[in-house]
Amino acid sequence: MYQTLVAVNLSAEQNYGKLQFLPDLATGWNTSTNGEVYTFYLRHNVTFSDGNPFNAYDVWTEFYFWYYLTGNSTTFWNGLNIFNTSNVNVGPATFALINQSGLSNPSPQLLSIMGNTNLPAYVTGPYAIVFHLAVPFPFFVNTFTGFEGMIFDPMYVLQHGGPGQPGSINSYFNTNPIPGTGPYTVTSVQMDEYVEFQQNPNYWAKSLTPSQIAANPILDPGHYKTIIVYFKSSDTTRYIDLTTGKVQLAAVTSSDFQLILNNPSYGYAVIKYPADMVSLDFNNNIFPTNVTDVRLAIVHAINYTQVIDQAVFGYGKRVMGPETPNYGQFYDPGNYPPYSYNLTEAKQYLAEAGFPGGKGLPPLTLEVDALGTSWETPAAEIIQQDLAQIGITVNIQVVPDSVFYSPFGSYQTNLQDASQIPPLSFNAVDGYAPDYLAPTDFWTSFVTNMSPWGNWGAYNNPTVDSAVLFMDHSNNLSAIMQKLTVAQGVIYNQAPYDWLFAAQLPLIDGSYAYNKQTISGFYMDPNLVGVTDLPILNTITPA
Amino acid sequence: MNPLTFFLRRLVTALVTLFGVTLITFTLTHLISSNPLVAWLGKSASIDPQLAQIYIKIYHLKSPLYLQYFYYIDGLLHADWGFSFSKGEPVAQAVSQTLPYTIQLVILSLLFTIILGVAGGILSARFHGSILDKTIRTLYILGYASPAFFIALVLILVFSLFLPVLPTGGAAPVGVTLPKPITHIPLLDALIEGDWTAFSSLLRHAILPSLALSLGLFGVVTRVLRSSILELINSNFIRAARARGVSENKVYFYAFKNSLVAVITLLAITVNFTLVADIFVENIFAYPGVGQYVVQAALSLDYPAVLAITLVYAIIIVTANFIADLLYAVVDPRIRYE
Amino acid sequence: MKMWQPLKSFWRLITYNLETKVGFSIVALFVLTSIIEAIGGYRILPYNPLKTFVGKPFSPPSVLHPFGTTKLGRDLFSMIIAGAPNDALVSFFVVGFSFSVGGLLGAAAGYVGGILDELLMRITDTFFAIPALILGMAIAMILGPSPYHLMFALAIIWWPPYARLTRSEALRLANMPFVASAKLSGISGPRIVLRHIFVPVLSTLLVYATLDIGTVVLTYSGLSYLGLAVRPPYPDWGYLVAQYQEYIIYAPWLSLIPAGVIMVVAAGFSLLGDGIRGAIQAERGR
Repeated sequence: MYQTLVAVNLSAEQNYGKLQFLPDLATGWNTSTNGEVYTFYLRHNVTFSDGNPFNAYDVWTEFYFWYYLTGNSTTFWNGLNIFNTSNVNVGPATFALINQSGLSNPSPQLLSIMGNTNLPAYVTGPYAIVFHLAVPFPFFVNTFTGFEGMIFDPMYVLQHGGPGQPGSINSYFNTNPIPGTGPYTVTSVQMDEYVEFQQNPNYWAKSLTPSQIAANPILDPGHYKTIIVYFKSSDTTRYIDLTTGKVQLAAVTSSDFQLILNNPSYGYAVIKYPADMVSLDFNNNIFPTNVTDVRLAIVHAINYTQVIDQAVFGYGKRVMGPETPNYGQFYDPGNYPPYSYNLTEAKQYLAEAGFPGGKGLPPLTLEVDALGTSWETPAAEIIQQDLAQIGITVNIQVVPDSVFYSPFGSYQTNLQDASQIPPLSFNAVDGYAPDYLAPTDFWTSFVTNMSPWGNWGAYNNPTVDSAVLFMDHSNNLSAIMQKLTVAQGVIYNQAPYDWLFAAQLPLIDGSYAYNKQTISGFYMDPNLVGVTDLPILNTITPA
Repeated sequence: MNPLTFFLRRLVTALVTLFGVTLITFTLTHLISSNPLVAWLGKSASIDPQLAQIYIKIYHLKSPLYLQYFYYIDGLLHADWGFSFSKGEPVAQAVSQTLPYTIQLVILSLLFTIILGVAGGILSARFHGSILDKTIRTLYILGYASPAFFIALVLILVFSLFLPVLPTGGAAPVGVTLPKPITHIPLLDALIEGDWTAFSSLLRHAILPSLALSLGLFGVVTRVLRSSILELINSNFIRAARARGVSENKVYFYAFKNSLVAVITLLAITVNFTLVADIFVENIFAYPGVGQYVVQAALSLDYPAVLAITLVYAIIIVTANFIADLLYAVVDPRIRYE
Repeated sequence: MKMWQPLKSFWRLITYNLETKVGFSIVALFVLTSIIEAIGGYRILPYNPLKTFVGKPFSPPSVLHPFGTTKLGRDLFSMIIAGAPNDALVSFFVVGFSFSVGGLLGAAAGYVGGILDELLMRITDTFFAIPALILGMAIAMILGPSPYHLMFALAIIWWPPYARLTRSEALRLANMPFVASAKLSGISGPRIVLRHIFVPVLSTLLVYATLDIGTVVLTYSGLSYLGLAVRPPYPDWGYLVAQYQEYIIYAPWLSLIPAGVIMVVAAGFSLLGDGIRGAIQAERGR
């Protein structure tokens, strides 16, 4: 329904694991030599589904919508500190002006505001927009793949109550979706029940040839006139609806997914090159998980193959974090191997830590989120048994979802709440997948003190921090790789997290299943389930 | 004593009981933890000091205990039952949205219980000693001994795998707009409005959960009805009627009629069991009533919700028993003169 | 000769009819299993209930594994036996406590009458208005999951029916001549309550208690189902049902068997209680 300026080549990404950006609403873009100025050239003759034209003024407005909604924060753009916002005074007054003047033919006054080159984003014509960064962030184009990069009609927003207040988006749009430029539009919404999509007759790419679609699959105009997505909370119901033919595609997990696996007439989505990180988190600040050798003992005592086989049907890829393999050279610079299952080594580490055979260690609590028990509990029980083999006692505690998440937040928060964070826990019920496809995401979120969310173990190391900071602010690739390699070594040796696997099933222990005689396939979220775990509707192809 | 005095006495007793219930729920809120803030707002309260200050004011958490109790009662009467953080809305609102669905199930299950219970009672009395009698007895003993979730699971298994005719989840299918809230009970509203699509969908979704409830409880009715009929059957009046040549079936029918009232008053007392069984049934059938809500709340440690729902259940039970008491008195004059 | 009397009465009670015998057998099996398991621990079981992969995961009931195996290949039969002591302990303790404490309270209140009686009536009324499960849930929420917490929580709220039973008996008996003569002979109040009021009520209480144990088993299983009794990987009947209910289509035995066991045990107490009641009434009729 919504498109971005820059498209991820779904075929290259999901079939071959290569990250490639193609034109979408932007036909081209370039970067200045110092890496701080990005210019995007936008596509002509594109309209939103409500008829309003798409142009650079829309992109400009949306950019500042996000600025406004985060309360004028300097890290408003995907949590990155890359813009100088000191000159920005775009706010409700400007929005009111835009509402009056409209964006198809903005007034001269509005044009001069939008063309003001002192702002971090300014237009240089109706189809060109320039972003002036404060630092040479090399992955700026990547940031358009996610939620904040989606283009919607800002005039619609302004005509229906505005974007909302800082911290809370106007809820009117929950049931009255904002028009987009994409191949489908929403024609009907019933909260907690269903959403109905219909093909957009005015879609700018509706006449693409099959080879054009194959070259850039996300532009596919779609193969079904109407698609209805129902919300049903019971897995059994979803499975039955699928197998009785009431629906053609359904999310099936856990026990029912086993039935799908056993049934060759059903296919299901698998992410060959996954980015959904599932980790066993250590509380790096409280005894005994604050002792490095204890952590190293634990990471070598777990039978990963068994965990992956039993908890997620074998669909997990061993990784050495904090990155996942889809970022090419930014994944595991230095080529450190994922932690091996080696009981001898584990026992050695434990002895070196001063706890031979586990003597002297208190029992460790492993917290499991009640919402994730279908895969977390079996995984936890296997880990419990594995650790018992080296003398560590683990107590499993299932806690309600809200209780599980309550102590977590930014790195600072996690550090402060360290006493409330359990020694062991799983990072998330559905893993952690990218909000946008830049390698900086996981590095920042998992292991630095700049993490707004995701550094559950409250881990911090100055070498790692400076390497990641450098990656954010430099376009000197070889220097970045050098520092990153050193940082990777530190992480490998300190094991602040036990990177269990990258989940290859979009629902961790389940997936979107379909009858192979009805549907031949589809692509998943270009952010590899970071933004949505639903199939990309316009890529669903009949058998 | 005259009926009015009787009625008033019973009413006062009921009110005193409810008052006692509020005392219990209130005491529980203060046994919850050393930090009542955490209890009322969840762990996040201890992290955000500003929010904490606001809530200390609103809930008068720094006032002496008796004052807090006063504010609590005051709040209850003004439908301010606190904020349910597991639902993200005021408890009163959440309850008003979920209660109608539970009431639907309870009423429907009452219907099924009457049908099953009466049929079972009459049949087992009429053919007492026979295999039919023994079968019915086995069925209801097993039903009564089954945990509510067992019956629900079996029904789901049967109706999903072998007889997929009835839906096994939710209250209404997608694409069906809910009827306008007149009585606020969706089934009734659909009926009143003549909206047959909505009515039939809502009904279809309510059948299995209600059936699950009644299969466990019909035994109570059957057993009482059976023994009551059999008792009456041997009374002098009946013997005289038989002697006059009245047919066996007619005789049993007469006994049944006279046992009816006892059964009706009995039903009011089974409300307690129904509400408890309902909790599990709603959870297994994903039925959006109070039962599902209270479990969600309990597992999220949402104390305001759990305590308010406890009160709601108490009100329902006290009311049902009150009605039962009145019915008993109407039927049996002896009871009025205590 | 006299020594055999109680045993003979006991035997007559439990063999009153077929149902009673069935009920007693179930109850005896349940109690014996629980006691033996509580003493012997996991060692006496065919498999360690916590040990994973003792069989192929998700295998249906077979000779090796009479109740089948779980997702991680644990033996369900061993898990069921391992979980029995919890239900037995909780139900017997709760009923025992309610029987004694509630029974005595009721007897005293009925005998003494007056304000004490009124107070007891109001208190029990209040407890009757709140379903035991809800109150148990609320208390367990506060204390945290554990069979002992549940036992404690249920005992606090389970006694009112016993108090009411003994109270109404006390009211009836208090005005009887033998009580008046006991008072005249100078026997103390408490002794009167105990010997002349509580003891005669015992048989009624016994019937009710037997039926009640089954009800506690059901309530405890319900609370366990909600996750308020044990934590993984420890087995408990209600919790097993909850853990495996999502497999109802793929491996129905995993949730149906624990639920069925609960039903059978509860039915056993129900049959036994009914039978004893029948036997006592028949006895009185003689």
